[in-house]
Amino acid sequence: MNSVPWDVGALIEYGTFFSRNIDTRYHKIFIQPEWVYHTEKIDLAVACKMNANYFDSYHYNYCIEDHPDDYDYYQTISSSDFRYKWNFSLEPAVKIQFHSKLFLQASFLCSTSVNNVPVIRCHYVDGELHEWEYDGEENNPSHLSFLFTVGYELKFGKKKGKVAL
Amino acid sequence: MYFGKISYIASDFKILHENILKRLIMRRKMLTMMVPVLIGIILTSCSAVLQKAYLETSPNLNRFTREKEKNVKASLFVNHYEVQSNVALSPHLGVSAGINGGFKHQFGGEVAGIFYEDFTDKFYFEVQGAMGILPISRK
Repeated sequence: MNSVPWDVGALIEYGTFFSRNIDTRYHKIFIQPEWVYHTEKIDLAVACKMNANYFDSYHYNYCIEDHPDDYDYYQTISSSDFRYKWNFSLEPAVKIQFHSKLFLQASFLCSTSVNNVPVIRCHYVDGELHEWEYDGEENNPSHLSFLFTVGYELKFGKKKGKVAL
Repeated sequence: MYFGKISYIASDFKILHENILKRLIMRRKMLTMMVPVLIGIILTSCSAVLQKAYLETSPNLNRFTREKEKNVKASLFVNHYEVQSNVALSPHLGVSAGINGGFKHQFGGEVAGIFYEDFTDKFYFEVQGAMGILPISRK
């Protein structure tokens, strides 16, 4: 994925652009307890998905580029590779459904880190690397922390308590 | 005397339950107004939208309400999709299967066994467990 606008400025002319490369393959074992509070009007579900992940291969690098069309610009880069490692993650989730087929769901994700890599900020002048510095660390596997979805559910089967004639 | 105390506590619990319901219905209206704002905020920044190397999923939150129920759920947002199906095999056991992914060449699948139990007329418990799934993310 190359030069995706990263902020509002990039959508106009100058701004920050994002490029990345991912090639990752992993397996999961999970257990997910869930509790639902339900009435005639609402279903409120809470769950916590606990995953153990085994990475066959992991490759993730990215580059955030500031003002790439300028004479003087910055690149923030980070790259991580590893194979045959385990990690653990937790995904707490909340779902709300108002006696309808539509529902809203939010989930969060936190995970143990397998590979901490440095983030490097490079300063280019006229296309040449002028200077670079450490700009913190990136925990890998890299992931989003929050996910929100809107869903639709269809149910089939005989309603409980009804007797077939 | 004890029976009087219990019925007093029960009526208190009923009032509390009704109040919670009223508040939730009010919040539903607020939520309807907030959703477009939330979408707008998320769309202004790619950093909050793009799925990365490890795919965050939307866990399968299910409740069986029918006999031998089969259900299908589809959910999505700007950065993620899920299609999940659950089948009740007996009054306490079921199976589920699902696929998920991001819109940038990420893909995964899950198959799970389910144990479920209606504790009371208002509380339902379920536990899902699985292995042998294969999420892949590329590009």
